Amino acid sequence: MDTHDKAAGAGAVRNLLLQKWPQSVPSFASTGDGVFRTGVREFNEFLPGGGLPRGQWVEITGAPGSGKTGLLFSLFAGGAADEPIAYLDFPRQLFPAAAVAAGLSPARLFWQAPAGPGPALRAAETLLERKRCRLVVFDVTGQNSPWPQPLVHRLRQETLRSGALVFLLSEPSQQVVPPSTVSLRVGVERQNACCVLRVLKSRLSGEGAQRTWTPGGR
Amino acid sequence: MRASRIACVRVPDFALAWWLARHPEFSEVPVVLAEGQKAASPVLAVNSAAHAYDVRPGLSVSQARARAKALHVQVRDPKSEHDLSRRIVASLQSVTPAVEEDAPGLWFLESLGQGRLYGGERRFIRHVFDTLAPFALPVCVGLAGHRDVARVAAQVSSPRTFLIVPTGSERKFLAALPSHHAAAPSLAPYLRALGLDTMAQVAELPASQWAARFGSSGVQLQKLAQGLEGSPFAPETLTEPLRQEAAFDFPLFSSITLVERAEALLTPLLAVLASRQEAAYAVHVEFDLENRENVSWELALSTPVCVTAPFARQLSHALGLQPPRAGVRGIVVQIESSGAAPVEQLEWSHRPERVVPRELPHRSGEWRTPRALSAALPEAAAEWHPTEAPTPKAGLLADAPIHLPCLSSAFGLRLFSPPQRVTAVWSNGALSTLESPALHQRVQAYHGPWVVSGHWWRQPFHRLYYEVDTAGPRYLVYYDRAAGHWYVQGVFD
Repeated sequence: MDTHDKAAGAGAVRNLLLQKWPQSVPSFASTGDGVFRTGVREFNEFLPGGGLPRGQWVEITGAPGSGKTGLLFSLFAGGAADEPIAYLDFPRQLFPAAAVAAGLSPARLFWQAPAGPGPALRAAETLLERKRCRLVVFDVTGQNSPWPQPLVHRLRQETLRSGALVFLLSEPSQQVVPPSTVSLRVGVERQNACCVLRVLKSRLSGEGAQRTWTPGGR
Repeated sequence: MRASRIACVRVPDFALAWWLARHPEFSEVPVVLAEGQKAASPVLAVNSAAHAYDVRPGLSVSQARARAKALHVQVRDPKSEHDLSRRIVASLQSVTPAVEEDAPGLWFLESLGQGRLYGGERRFIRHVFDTLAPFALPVCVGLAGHRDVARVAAQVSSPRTFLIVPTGSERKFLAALPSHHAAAPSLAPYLRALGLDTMAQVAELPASQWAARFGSSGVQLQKLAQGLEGSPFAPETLTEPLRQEAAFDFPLFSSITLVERAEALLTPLLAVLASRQEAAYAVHVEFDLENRENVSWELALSTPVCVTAPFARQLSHALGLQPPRAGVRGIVVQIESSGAAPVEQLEWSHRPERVVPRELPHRSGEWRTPRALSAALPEAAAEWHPTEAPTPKAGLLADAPIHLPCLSSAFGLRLFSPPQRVTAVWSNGALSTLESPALHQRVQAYHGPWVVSGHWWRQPFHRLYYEVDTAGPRYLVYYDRAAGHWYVQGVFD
C-alpha cells in the first residue's frame, strides 16, 4: 500500500469514527473560530490551543460551594462576547446576578427548566441543528439517574457537526452521561479564597494538571 | 412623644451573686462582700445564710464577724465586676443593639420592635434569660414604657422572673407599690416619717412641694409616681475601633506605594462602615519606620465619605510635604470618627448588581430571558420573560442597575426556589449551627444582618439577611421576621 492509500485509509477510518463515536476523535483545531477562548486564563492553560476546541463536551464538577458556578460564568464572560448561551437548569437555581457579577451579560442568557433529560436533550439538539446557539449548559446538579444513551449520542454528534460546546455542571458523585462522552472533565475545589482547578479527565490535554484560580467578586 | 419599650435587667447584689455563682459550695455558708479585709471595712452585700445571722449591709466586717462566727468575708474586686458587666453588655447586644449599662448589675435594653422579632415581649424576655443563662446569675427583668418604671418592675420581680408593665398602665402599676421601692435610699426614712407609704400618695402631692422639701430627687420621685418618663434611655453606640495594620518584609519608600497600601487597608474598614449605613469623617494613619520612629497623620473631612479617594489624596499631599525619614516597615490605619453616610454615597459604595430573577417559573420547557425589575428581594428583582428559542441576536434585558442591599456580592450565587427552611441554633449570642433534615452545617463565621423590608401596603416582608460561612459552602440565609423562621435562600458556588 503506498502513502496515498495509507492516508486515504486513515481518513476513512477517521470519518467512520466521527460518524459512529465522534467523541473518540480529538479535534485538532487550534485557531480561529475552532477554538473558544474562555475568560479564565488558568483554564485556557490546560488546553494546547489556548482555548476549548469546538465540538466538545466539557464537564465542570465540584461539591456545593466549590466555585464551579462562578467558574462557568467566568469562562463565558471572556470568550465570544455576543454568543447566546442556552442554560438548561435542572435544579432551577440560576441567579442571573451571579452571571453579571462574573462579568457575563445577562442578555446572552436563555434559560429553560427542563421537564426531564429527554426533553432537555431534544431541545438542545434542535438548537444546534437550527444553528440558534453554540453554547449549551446543562446544570445537572442533584440529578442522579443516567440519561438516555441514544439521545446523548445524537446530541454528541450534533455538537461535533455544529461546532458547539456543551457544558455539564455537576457534583462529583454524579454520572448522568457515560464518561466517554465528555472530552474534558475539570474538578473544582475551594481552598480559602481560591479555587483549585484539576483536570480529572482529558482527551484534549494532559490529565492531572492543576491550576489555582481566584474567583472575582468574592 | 416617641413610643418606647424598655427592659431592665437587674442582678441584685451583682458582685456577690457572681462570686457565689462561681463558688456554689458556699451557698450554705454565711458570706459577705466587703470593701476590704480590715475590721472597719463596711459590708456591702450579704447572702441569705449571713442574713439569717442578722448580718446586714452597712455593718463593719468586725461587727459582721461578731454576729456570725463562720463568716466568710469576700473582698470586692471592682475590676472583675466591671469586666463581667462588659461581658454581659456584649451578650445583651446580641439580643438587641440598644443596650445601656447603668451600673454593674443594672442594664437597660430597647425592646420596641424586638417583640416582633422574637414573637412577643415574653419571648423576648425569655431570650434575654437564655442569653444570660451561662452566667448563672439571679437575673430579674422588668419591661415597661420607660426606663424608670422598668427599673422598678425589675426591682419588685423575684430572681429569675420577670414583670411586664403594659404601655399606659405605668401609673396604675406604681400606685399600689410601697414608696420605698422607687425612692432613693436617702429619701425612704423621710417618706416613712411623712406617712407616704405608697406611690399613689407620692403622686398626689404637688411637684412644688416635692421640689421645696427634697429638691430634684423629690421631683423625680413624684414624676415617676405619676408614670412620667424621668431619666432618658441612653444606649451605647456599637462602635469598636476600626483598625487595620500591615507589616512589610522590606521597607517601603515610594509615596505612591505607601498610599496604595494605606488605601488597601482602609477599603475594608469603609465597607464595614457602609454596611452600617455609616461613613468616615476622620482616619488616623501611622507609619512604623525602620529607625523605630513613628509618624502619623490625622486625615479629616467635613463630610463623611464611604470611599478612600479623599483620604488617599490627603495622605499623598502630606507625604509630599513631609516624606518619611526612613523606610516604612508597617502601616496602621484606624477610623477615628464616623457618622451617618449620605444616601448617595451608600449607593456608590455598593457594587452594582444588575439582574436577578423573580421566583423561577415552574412551567417546564419554555425558553425565557431575565429582565431587570426594581425590587429589594433577590427572588423578586428580575422576572423571566418568555421568548423564542435563543437567537444570535439576543438582548431582551435592560441593563439597568439593580441595588441589592442584602448581598455583599452575587458572584456564583445559586438561588434556592423556594428557600429551604432551617433551624438556626445560637450559642453564646452567636449563630452556631444551621439545621434542617437536608442540612447540618456548623457556622464558622457570618456577616450581617442586612435588613430588607417593604411592601407594607401589599405583601409586607421584613427579613434579616446573613451570609454564613460554614465548613462547607457559604450560604445566603435570612430570618423572616413576619413568619419567625429561618431560611437558606442560596449557596455561593
